Amino acid sequence: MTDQPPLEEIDQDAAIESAHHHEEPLVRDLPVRLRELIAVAACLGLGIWILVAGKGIVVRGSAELGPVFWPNMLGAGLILFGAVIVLNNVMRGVRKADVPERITTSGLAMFGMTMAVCIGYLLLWNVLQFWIITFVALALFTLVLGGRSWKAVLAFPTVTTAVLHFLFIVALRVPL
Amino acid sequence: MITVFTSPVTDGIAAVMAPDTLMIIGIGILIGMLVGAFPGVTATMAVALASGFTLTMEPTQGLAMLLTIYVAAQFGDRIPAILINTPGTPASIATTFDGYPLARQGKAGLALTTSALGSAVGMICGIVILAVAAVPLSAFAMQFGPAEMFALVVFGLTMMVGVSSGRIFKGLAAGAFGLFLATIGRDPITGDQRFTMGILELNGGIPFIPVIIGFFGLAEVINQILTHRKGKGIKPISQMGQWMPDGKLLKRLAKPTAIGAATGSVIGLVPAVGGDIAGIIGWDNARKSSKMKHEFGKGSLEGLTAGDTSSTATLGGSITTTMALGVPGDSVMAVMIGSMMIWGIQPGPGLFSSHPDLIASLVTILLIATVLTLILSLLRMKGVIKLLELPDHFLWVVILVFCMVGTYSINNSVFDVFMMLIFGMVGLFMLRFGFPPGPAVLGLILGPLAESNLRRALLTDGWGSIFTSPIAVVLLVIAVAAVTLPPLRQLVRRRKAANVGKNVPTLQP
Amino acid sequence: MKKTILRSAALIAAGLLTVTGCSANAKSGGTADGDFPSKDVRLIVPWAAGGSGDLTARTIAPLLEKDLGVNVIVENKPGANGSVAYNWLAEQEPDGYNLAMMGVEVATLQFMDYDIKPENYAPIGQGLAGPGAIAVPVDSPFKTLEDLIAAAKAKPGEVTFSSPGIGSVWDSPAAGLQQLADIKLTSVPFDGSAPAIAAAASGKVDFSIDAIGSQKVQVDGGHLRYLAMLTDERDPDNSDVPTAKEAGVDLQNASWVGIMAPKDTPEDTVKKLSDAMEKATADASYQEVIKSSNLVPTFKDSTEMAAFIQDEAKRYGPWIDYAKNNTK
Repeated sequence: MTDQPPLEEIDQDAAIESAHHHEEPLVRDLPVRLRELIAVAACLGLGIWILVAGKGIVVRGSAELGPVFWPNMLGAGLILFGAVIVLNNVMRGVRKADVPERITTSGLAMFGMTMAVCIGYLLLWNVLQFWIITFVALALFTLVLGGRSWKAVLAFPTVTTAVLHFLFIVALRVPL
Repeated sequence: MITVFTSPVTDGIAAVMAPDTLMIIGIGILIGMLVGAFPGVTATMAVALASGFTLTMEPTQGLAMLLTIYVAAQFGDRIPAILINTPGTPASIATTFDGYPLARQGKAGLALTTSALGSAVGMICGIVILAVAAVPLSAFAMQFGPAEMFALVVFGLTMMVGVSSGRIFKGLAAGAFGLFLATIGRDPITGDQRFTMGILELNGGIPFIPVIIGFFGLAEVINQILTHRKGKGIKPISQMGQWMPDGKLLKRLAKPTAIGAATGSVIGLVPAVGGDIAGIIGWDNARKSSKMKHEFGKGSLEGLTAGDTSSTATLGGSITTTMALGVPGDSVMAVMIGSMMIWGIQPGPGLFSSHPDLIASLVTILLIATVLTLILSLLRMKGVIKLLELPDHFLWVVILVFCMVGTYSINNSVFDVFMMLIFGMVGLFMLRFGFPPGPAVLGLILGPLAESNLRRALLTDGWGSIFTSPIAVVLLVIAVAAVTLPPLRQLVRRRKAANVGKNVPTLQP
Repeated sequence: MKKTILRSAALIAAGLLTVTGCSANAKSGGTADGDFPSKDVRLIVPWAAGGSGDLTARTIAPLLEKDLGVNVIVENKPGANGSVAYNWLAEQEPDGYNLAMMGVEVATLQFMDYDIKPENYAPIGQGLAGPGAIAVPVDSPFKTLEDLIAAAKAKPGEVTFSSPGIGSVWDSPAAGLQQLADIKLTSVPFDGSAPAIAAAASGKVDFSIDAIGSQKVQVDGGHLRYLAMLTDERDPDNSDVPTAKEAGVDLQNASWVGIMAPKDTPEDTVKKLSDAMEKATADASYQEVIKSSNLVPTFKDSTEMAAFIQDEAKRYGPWIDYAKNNTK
């Protein structure tokens, strides 16, 4: 006999949970912690903006909770949570799982071009025929995101445009 | 001679079993799966379009078409949620929590099968409720006035902690952000503008579906693009080994399935609350009672099943309240009420006595549609997974363009597509800085209900109207317990662990 | 900016069409066009699919097609209480090829700080009406409208009613009731008619003011009881229910749905559309669909409609101001 307590006395749940609590070391590197300040700034900024912009809401009548009560509560809440994040993430550290993958230069370039195509596509959406603009947008997207063969730049957009046209215009009668 | 037993029930079933009705159910399934699978294209839209040509059909056939689309869309929308992190319809928001991580781990096939099975179980639970207890339950649903709705919503908001995946304070901040987004537009009581910044379209509030497509689908794609490295090269294996859950897994899934079904069935009865909220609440209820809490949100089959079962289980309840109260349970049901009135069926308290065969027909249609849809979902699983084998650039382009066109088709509005792009960027920011999107979406869904019902309750009878309603008080007590009990229990456990000493925090072999 | 892009695109498109020889009938702006209609007509629904306005559009479109001989394409363009579609229509070429469904909001949104002016549109006609009623829970102590008014007089602000939202077609006549009867009620605005009526049916508020047809479900189901009809004469289907006028409050109101075009649409085009609409609303299939939705098929032609909308604006303006300034 060992001094191990009988099986049923051991709280399996607690054991599993605590086993997992221990495997969460915090990342304490200064750049990672300073980066959290951006999150804090977002919380504080939005919270303050809500409180300021909320002043413009028309309040009439004498109800207990008027139209500004709810937004003010949320604005104050955001400021409070921003402050807690300072204590929790900036002062202590960040969980490993919360440190995102690095952004690459090529990725950033692809992202910029993708967004440019998206916006161009949208601006011309109601102006040009749907299938023309969609075909061009698809070809550009594929080109930007790394497709180079004729299949990628011509065949793929053609097929996709046809599918979209059939599905949305013919079947769902969406006025595109 | 065999005496043929006839009753309204058998009449109702026989009406559905006619070959042409069955064929209509088949068509409905195909349409429903398809619209469900495309983000932005909602079941409401398909049902509204279909109601144009079902008006000339017999009521049974017309109902078969509309209900089948509704049912099948609940299966179809799981597919993009699991494969590309984009909910096909809001009902599959909770599916993305665990479904997408599973797909990334190469378990897309298993996730799709489990999700379809869970959805089918949920659907059947909802249908059973409709069959046996429609009338008494609708009386219960009728009790949900502003005060009770407010209490229910507060209970829903306590789920924010649960869906924060460990990042509690950032989760709460995201939740407050979601609740704030819901205040943009016209004040629900006074009708004055709030935070509309002079943009006409914002008078109607932030459009919900574009936001979830942006938060989940677009943000994920953009993040993949941003972190793309040349020669990172080989795609993860999209599917390995197991397709069907084995006996052991099924046994483990029984509990979350039961929790999901119970959660969804109750929530479905409440008018104006649907599968989106039920999925999230069911997911969190299962998490709380699970032994593998840490897996939730990182690819837990339990979480996936619970969320899906719960969100489909609302369907039966939603049909029940619609038929028995005449109050639409959700937007699809609102369209269906219009069609039914033209067929001379007036949904409302008198329906079940004036058309006793109708309820049998409804149940039969729903059952057949569920079973057929399940079979179809299981059959074409392998084809669907092929999508993941596409090279990255094709997959990204397909997601981008389908999200844009799908978003446009909701309201035929370019503004909505811009909102989708903007919220994709917001979602990207949240993803990069560790704000979980779950609480934000929860806040956006529940925000208008929370604020407007609280203020309505105060208008009718002041604070008293909340504290004199037994339903509201019970719900509020549960809400308080949901927030305070888990940390207390943890504290007690830690204390126990400290007392027993070194032995306890070890895993049994 | 957007308009100029659209214009130039329209020019380019028109140019392309002439080059390819497809267009015998290039657009000629606001001038009269004897051949109207020569191409598809778009009918915009300013609401989401599923309501009575959407249903009207989808029922009337095939009937208009029959008469006009071209396709009538129904499109939903919901958003911001319908104002997205109304604003869109005001910017379209007034050639009769772009139409929109309309409700009373055309006349009333201007009082809710929206930039929608009834003068910017040329009404084509009215298609249906939904006359209103006041209904109370079946077990309500109020047996007549007089009881309700007396109770509200005794305790100002204690009697509550549910409305589909402030400034809406059914919140406003409640303001009218308060002014005419010199009483003070508490409005509890809901998000649409269905939840508002349900709240009255379950006794959460003291009465509901809405369309007779919308309340009918709960009346038939034994949850609500009509107290008074907001009609000129008694409703033939509920002849035992008195009108508000009989109770000494001369209040009438009905929701309605119509069709309109942008202003400056040529008169003969409006006339043609209005005639087509008259025929469509008289069609048996249209009548059947509208009646089975508990609404009343009603037709007013373009001239009657223009005067009617002005009257509605005059009626609703003070009501909405009253409602806004007396919210609790």
